[in-house]
Amino acid sequence: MNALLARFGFGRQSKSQNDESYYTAGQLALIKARFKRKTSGVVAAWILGTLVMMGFFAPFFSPVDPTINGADPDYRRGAPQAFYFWDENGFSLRPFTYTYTKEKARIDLKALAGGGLNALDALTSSGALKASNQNKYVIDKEQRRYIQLFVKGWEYSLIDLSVGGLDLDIRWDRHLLGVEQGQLHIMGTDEDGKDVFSRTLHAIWITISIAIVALIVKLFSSLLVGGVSGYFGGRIDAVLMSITDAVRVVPAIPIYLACAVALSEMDLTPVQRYFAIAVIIGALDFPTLGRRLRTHILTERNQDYVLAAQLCGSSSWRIIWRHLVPSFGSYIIVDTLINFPYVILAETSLSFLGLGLTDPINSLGVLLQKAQDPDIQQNMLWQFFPVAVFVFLIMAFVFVGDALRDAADPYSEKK
Amino acid sequence: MMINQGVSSRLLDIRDLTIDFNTDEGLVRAVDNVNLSVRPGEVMGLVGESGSGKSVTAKSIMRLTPGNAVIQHPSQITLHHRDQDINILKLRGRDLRTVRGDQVSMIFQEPMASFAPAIRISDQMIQTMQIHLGYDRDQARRAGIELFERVGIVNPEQRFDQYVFELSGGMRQRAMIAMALSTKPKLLIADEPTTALDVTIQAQVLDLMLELREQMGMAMIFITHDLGVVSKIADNVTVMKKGQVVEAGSAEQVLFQPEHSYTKRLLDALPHLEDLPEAPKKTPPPLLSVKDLSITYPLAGNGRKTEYFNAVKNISLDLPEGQIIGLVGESGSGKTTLGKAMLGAAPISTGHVQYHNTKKKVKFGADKAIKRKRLAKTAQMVFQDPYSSLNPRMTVRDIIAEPLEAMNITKNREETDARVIEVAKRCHIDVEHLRRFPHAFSGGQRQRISIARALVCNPKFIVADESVAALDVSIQAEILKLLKELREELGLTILFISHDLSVIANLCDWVCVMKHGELVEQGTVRQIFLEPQEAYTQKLIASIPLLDSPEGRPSNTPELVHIAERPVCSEARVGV
Repeated sequence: MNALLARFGFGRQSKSQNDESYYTAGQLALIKARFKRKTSGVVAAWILGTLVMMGFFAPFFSPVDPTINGADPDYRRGAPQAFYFWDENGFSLRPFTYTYTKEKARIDLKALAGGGLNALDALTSSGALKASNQNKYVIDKEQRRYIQLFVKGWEYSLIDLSVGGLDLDIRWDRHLLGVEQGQLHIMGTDEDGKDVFSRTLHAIWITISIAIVALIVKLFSSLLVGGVSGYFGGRIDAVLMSITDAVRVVPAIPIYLACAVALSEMDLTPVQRYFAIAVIIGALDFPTLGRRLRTHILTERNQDYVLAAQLCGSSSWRIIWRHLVPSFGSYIIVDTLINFPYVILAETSLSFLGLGLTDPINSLGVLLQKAQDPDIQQNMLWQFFPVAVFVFLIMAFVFVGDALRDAADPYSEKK
Repeated sequence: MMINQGVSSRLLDIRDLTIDFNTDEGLVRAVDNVNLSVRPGEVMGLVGESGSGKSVTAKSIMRLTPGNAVIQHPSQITLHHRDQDINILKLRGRDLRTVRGDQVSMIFQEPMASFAPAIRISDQMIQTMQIHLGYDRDQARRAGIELFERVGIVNPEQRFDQYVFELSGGMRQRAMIAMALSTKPKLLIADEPTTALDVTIQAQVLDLMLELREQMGMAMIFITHDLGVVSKIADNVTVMKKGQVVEAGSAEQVLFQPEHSYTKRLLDALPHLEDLPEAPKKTPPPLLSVKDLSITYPLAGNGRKTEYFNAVKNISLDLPEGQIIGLVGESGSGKTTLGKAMLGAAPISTGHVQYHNTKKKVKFGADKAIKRKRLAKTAQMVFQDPYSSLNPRMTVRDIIAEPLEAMNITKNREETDARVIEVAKRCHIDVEHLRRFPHAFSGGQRQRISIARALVCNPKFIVADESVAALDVSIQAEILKLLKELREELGLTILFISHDLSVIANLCDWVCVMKHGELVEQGTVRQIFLEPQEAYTQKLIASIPLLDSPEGRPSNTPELVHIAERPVCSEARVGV
């Protein structure tokens, strides 16, 4: 938070920047200065940065292993465990939580053995089998469990840099939060006893990394098609643009379906398969950006500085990459950022159709799809936590993208 | 007579006008304590360079200042209308129409950009008249066509229903004038109305405006940077510099007995036909020969039947080495195309271009492909627009180094840097500025960067395409001085393309005149300017807005009151 305030303070100072720095400022520095002036964008950027970092170092931030290995069989469908600083037993600087024990529904099977249908009737109408009754747990207020920092837990790989035979996998076993005994479930558990908070953190990174892959592929194909088409024009342009239009009319969902079927033949893990789909989504998503880039370059290549570069003896390749594409840079950055939510949404909708990732994997799409279960909606509201994170993530992206667009457009300053 | 007329006979009074702009760097003063008054029927010439605040002053009369402009206290703009004093700065809402159309109207510099491109001119004018004069459609239409006729548009009924892009440049400006006059304003503000036009058309438009002033008796504020134009049209002149009035008075006084050094500098930029530069004794051997050169562009058409446009028709030309050669012509005469063809940037259909005395043979043409790198080392270009010809995303150093890096002329970065610094110094660019980006520079400095880029690979020949057209007079002079310096020190041959005859007269040794893609005449500056042979050249030379001698100027000041009384009858005539 201090850093945040310091940033704001700095933003204000930059208005009285001396002339020299303004005149030597590059395009990026100017965009940065303008971006800092927009509070909503800066706040969103910080939220976004925090979420992405928490996603990237998810194992460190999660108190519990999100896979089935870390599932707590004694605390299935368990409610979130709140932190306290004081209670009737006294005040504590170190936050603590209580020991939660699941209340086992007592079903009198003996009565059932001899009672016949009437006994079965009595059992079902008593409510002991109701889903909501299975959520009951006991809080033992006498047994405080203090929150510890950097506790030892399951071992995970912090950053895996191994390439080929090189073993650069940095492994660690410390976690930011934890309790000495048992497990800490900040946001409760699901019906398998897996920790919702940890699952969400892990899901963020999977979702974002897929989106990044899809967008990089998309960016590359758009730049290639748009750049070549716009610069050379004429026949090359006509051919490339008709291909683009052909791709554009093919609806997305059938392509996803076809890809999912084709990929299911291959021996891939679900995540790998989804990455493959993401690459295909990205590669086929070039028409919009590609066409826009082409239009831009078509007008830009008539600018005098392009002719100047030609007369200087620059090659076509050099002109496209050194002169034309950078002039479109700000738009490309903004378009990519604004498209992020759409790719994430595509992932969720695919998961919803059952084509993308499915349950054992942690992705926001999977968790969102899960939250549609009526059982969760009625009895386990804490499983909506990923929905909140998702909304925050999308909003952060939208606000950052919006602020960046304003910052990248030099004419937005005058009001 | 002038003294006797009190405040009451003034049409417009600007008192202590101070305007600031709200920018990133804080408040920037654009207009500083300007006092100006216009009497009915008077033509006030407002002269100054870009950024001197003349346009902002004029726009504030119509309350058209940009949103970030702050008009400071105690600025006052008063319009005297029907014995009433209207405080323009206090007008709100519908009352603004008094100064936006009713009493004041405006002619803009670029007519193409000031008409709505997708609406017929007739509809735009009729609507204006319906709002301001309360005419019905037919009445407005008749009035509009009459105005078109009056501003000298041939075939007015047909032209009236056309779109703006269907008219030629001169016609557009006439239509613009007709539109400005349609509401019968008392005051007409003309913001550089002839700057974008060719000399011959400029002369026509100026004559027209003078004539209309006589007929309709409105006052005019004529904004320009060209004192020659002012001498043709204005009764009184106000010279502005950096937001302040530096000199004001009657046209005779300001133009012939200038007191301020700035006015003198502006006057120096005009061509002085009395002392044109002496032609060199002997003509040096040619550096470049153009033989039977024709350039055709395919016009839009379908694949089977394409029409062609001949931009340059069969020109043969030798350019003498080490001289500055001026290439003159109106817009559309093919002078830029010819210049670009010499650099291999235009499609040559017949003929060829050959450079002499080069290390490796440089010759290209219709049947001979261009060796781009050889040519790039021999000939370079300086562009017209200093803003679009520099890549805004590269530092000055990178821009200047571009030819070296693109052609791998230098061996390493140090050598490149050394060469860039050497050229920058020669073109008077501060070496510390090399890290900066082009947006930090003014037009003149940018043009220096452009020249430095052209010079960095030691070419022998430079094409300067309207290279000073976008610059202010005082900066023009600096760039022209630099070009002369380069010619002398490096022995450069420069082809200077311009429609501005005064620049050509002050700079060049040899002049070529082009018309409709053909070479009409060539000769030394003295020959062309003093004894033009061809009729076209004579017409061109005659249209230069030169400073008339004091005796020759028609003195129209005493008639002012007389003119001002006349609008009643002219109004009646237009209205019916």
